[in-house]
Amino acid sequence: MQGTYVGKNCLRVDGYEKVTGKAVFSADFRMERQLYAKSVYAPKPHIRITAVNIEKALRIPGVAAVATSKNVPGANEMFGRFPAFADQEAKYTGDVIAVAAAETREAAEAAARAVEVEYEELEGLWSLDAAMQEGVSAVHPDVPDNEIEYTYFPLRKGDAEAGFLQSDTVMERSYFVGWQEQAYIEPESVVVSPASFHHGYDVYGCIQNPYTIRQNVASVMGLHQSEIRVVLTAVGGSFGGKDESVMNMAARCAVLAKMTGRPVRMDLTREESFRESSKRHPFRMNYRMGLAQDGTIKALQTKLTCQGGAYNNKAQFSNWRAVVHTAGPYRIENITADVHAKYTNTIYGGAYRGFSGPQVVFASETMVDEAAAELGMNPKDFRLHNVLREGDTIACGQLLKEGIIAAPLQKMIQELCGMADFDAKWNSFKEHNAQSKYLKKGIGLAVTYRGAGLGGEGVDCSSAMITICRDGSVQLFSGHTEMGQGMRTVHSQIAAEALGIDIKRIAFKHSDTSVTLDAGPTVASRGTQSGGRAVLHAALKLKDELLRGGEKKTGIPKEQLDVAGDSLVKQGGEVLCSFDDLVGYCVFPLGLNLSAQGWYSPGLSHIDPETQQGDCYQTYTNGVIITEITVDESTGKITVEKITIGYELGTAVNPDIAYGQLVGALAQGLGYALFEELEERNGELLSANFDEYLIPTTLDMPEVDFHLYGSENPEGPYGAKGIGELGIELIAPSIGNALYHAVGRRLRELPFNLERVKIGKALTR
Amino acid sequence: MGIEKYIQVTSISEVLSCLGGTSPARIICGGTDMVISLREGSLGEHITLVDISRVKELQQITQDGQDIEIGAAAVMADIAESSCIAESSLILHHAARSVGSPQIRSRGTIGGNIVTSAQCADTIPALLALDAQITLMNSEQSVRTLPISQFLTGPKQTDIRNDELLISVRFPSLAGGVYRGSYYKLIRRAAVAKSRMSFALISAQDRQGIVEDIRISIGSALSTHGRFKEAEKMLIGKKASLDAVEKTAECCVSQVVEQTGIRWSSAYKLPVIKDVLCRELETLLEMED
Amino acid sequence: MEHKENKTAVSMTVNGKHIQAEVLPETRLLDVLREELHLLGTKEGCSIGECGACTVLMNGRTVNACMVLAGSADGAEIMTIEGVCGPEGELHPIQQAFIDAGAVHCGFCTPGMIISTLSLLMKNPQPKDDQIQEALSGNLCRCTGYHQIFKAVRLASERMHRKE
Repeated sequence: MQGTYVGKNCLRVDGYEKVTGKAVFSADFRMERQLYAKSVYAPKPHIRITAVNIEKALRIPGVAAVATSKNVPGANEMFGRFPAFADQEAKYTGDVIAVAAAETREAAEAAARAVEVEYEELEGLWSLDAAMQEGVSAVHPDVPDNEIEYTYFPLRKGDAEAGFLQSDTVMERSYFVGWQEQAYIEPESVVVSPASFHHGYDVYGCIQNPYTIRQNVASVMGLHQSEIRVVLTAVGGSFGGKDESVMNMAARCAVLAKMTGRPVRMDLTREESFRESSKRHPFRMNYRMGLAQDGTIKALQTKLTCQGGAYNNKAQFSNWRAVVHTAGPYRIENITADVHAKYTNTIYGGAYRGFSGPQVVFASETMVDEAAAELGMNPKDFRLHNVLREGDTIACGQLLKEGIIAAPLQKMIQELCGMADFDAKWNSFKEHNAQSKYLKKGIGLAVTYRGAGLGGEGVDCSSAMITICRDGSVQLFSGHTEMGQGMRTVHSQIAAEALGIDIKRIAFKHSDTSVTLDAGPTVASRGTQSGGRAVLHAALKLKDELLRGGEKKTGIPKEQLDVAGDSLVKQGGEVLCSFDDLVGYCVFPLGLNLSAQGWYSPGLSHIDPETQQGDCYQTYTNGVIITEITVDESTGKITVEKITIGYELGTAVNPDIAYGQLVGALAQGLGYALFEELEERNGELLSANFDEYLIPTTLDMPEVDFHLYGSENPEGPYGAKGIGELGIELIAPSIGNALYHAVGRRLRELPFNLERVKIGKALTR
Repeated sequence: MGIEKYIQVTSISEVLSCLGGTSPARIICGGTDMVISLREGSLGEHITLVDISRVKELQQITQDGQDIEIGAAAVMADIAESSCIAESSLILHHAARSVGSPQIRSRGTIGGNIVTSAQCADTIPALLALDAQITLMNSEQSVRTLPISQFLTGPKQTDIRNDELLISVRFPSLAGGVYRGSYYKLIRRAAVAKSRMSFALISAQDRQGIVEDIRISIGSALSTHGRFKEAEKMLIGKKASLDAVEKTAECCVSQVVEQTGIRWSSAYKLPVIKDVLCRELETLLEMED
Repeated sequence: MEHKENKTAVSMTVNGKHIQAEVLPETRLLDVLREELHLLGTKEGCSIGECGACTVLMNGRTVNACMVLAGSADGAEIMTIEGVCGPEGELHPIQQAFIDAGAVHCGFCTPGMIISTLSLLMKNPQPKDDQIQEALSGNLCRCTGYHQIFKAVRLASERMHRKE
């Protein structure tokens, strides 16, 4: 839809502070008498701790306190089994045994180095493949089978075995993807201070999910959630990552704030951030596909296994998403899919943009391409033959129906392949490659659909508050957080559209759990789709109140009034008075309530736990990519030359911001596909900064031919769908498919680094 | 922290007077390696740092007859932007341009690249191919000159003595002659990453296509930086052919195996050395693909 | 800061103002800017010269302030993001272009990105696309995928050119 603000490219509401260097990020937020905290990490990835001696550390000049598990006033264990301080055992390299707080950074570092940890080294489960063996030792003794709790989900549709019997060809393939680091440019930082005006603690920092942090800090401190206040600074990117790590940091700093009575700050170095923050989960994905000679997919069986790491508070959600999306956007009548997750003595998986989407889309879109090749079909034709269309039911049984859930993929594949000249290049590149000795060209296709919002992962409730000040200026609060994605701008647009006012009136206020309402985490592309509904709800309530005031002021029934163009107008457009005057009258003499709370809840979704059949997500977004690459056969280096991409996402509330989100996600996906790789050795992380862990630079980005497709989404605000994650899923399989087109070799592991492309396997030191 | 003293100097004689004393003095210029070592705490204790980034005499890029001389403190950005370098030694121009990011090139110096002598040093293969000479001066102000191939003695090791300062690197210009060159740096992404391997080649051919001169140097291939003289000999005096090129490349691979043995990275590096050399030589010697 | 014997005085010009600071030998330019001068717009992202969040101009060239010891910057002219605005706080055309082109997402890389753009446009007022990419290759951004940043640089270049 197109409105005054919705569908328009409004400028970012937080641009000025950020281009002038005035935006206050966590490391820029200073408090009087603040102490600096430094963590003592596990000296080896898996140890039994026999003694911790802090005496020497305490004697270092400037040291105020050293905290260990002994100093924790409440529960030492947080959600997901994370210990505030490891005491008996350290289960991975990022476990923290003690934290020193001192007057200077240097003194804190010296004290951390002076803490003596006595330990015995233990054997460990260092990889997913090791954890998948029978009869391995358990990472957590009370979980003897080493399967992460609540992470097994079966999906059943039709009769897979019967489908295989009807198949002419049955293919089996195994795919693997490793960790990916969110690699926000701002490392984690928090400051925790004894509360200024009441009992409890204030937490400041770059935090994605303030309510989760509040809950866990309260539990570690033995306090009520109401006694912990979490205030966000500017957040320098998060992508799912500034969650468990900042939770741990905030809890540890809170303990030190209690011990010292002073504000305690902790700024992670990049290496520390790599060491103790969550990553994208690795997955082993086994696929079995049954095909009829005409190219119809008759049956699919998948077994997905996720590596959780030493602790876990996300795999129970991401695994569910994985199994629901395992079949891809295809009409497959018979599906059996199972997903599990294992503990390992390694860094841990958490949320990273896309959650488990990029993993399963890599597997399923490679599998589909392999199937086409097996049958000797063009990959485009194979997809067109099998892709979901109007009237189909998807893997979890939801019906695709116009006006409810769109089914645009067939059209998108045809149009985008046309724009990218797919068929012609499919042939001409092969001719080129026959002539060219070293440089080979390839073109690859990938297609996805993605459940937007939390769906069955949780309760998708959101909150917002709008207050109109006496002078007609407007304060907007959201329970969701701005991390760079443009949510504040989009929410402001929605509020301005609904209220009929100039967007310049709106000041978006900071996130502060003592003011904003618990909206759950800002994840799963729900900031606009769900959070925007709460804003809309608040704005419409306020507008109703304003019109009530207008009726009193003008004597015209409110049904015939509207607020539009920053004025009170009569239906038909006649301006009755300015917005300022209307507000003034509502305040005095009417005394109306010009504050409103917005709430959105989608209600319960009905999903059968034995089959995952049900209303898994309210809606789905769709995407098609065509990627052209050049492969240097002498080195194995892939260069992505051009990407043609189309996304269907309902209404783009702000097309520029949508573009930025999708291209930004594309870049992260490109890194995942080509060179982002965390090297580990027996639980130790060998890639710990941007010299070893490479993310895309300006020169890595190809030409992007970008297309947006609209649709109706009755659930979203003004028809919008969540889009933050969709962009990251497609590029890896499309590059792999293009690689196969170029050189005839199929890679089933990411990333497609120099070694895998050149010699078919990665090197291990 | 390990630094006891930080001395800022502006002339070569001042630098030399700081060297050869009892407390260990380390030269710092751009700091792009040194500041990292400092952060890692790997620089040692009680160090005196002598900052030569303001010694103008060490920053010059000059032509002296047929020779080009680059001061040790010349930064990569200056080398990359120098028309003198682009005309006289295009491979060095490319090597300097490929160093790090613009920010690193503003600070990193050619002297630092040579003295640190990392496996992945970008300019060293180019300088080896250019037959560069190293000029050193000691605290007595006596000058020592030696070929860069002799100066580089091992992994991260050079022949520099405690009281010596690297003054400059010098090589004969290839401008206007029959020489051609190629520099290829392999990295894991499009830019700004540590070199996986780098290939510096220089050639001269007569009108009939007979190879009169060929120089091959590969970064991150040998444990000690050096040229591939055996392989070079196989091409000199011969007409370039696909077969000759392939044999030359195979000879280079053999030299790598001989010097370094089979290592964890060999499964990848050896075929790359062969294939990239073939590719580069085919183009350099103007052979049809 | 605890007192140490081996502190030395450095002086430099930062955003046109002459400043002096007492520093330890290992103090970095970044520490002087952030901790002594409270110029917090220059960010620390990796501390090893890889991300470019701490990019400042030093004697007209971009450097990573995390890789320059304060002693090396003695006598230098430094410009940080705080010096990019006009005297009345008005936005520089580059800053405006970053806002207009949607090139600002989380904003953490933005100061460094703007400094690198400034350096590019001073040397090359009408850069080609590949020159823009090259000039910004030392500034990592994880949010945008860079395309909106390229657009901002082109926009700034056009506007600054038109003005002249």
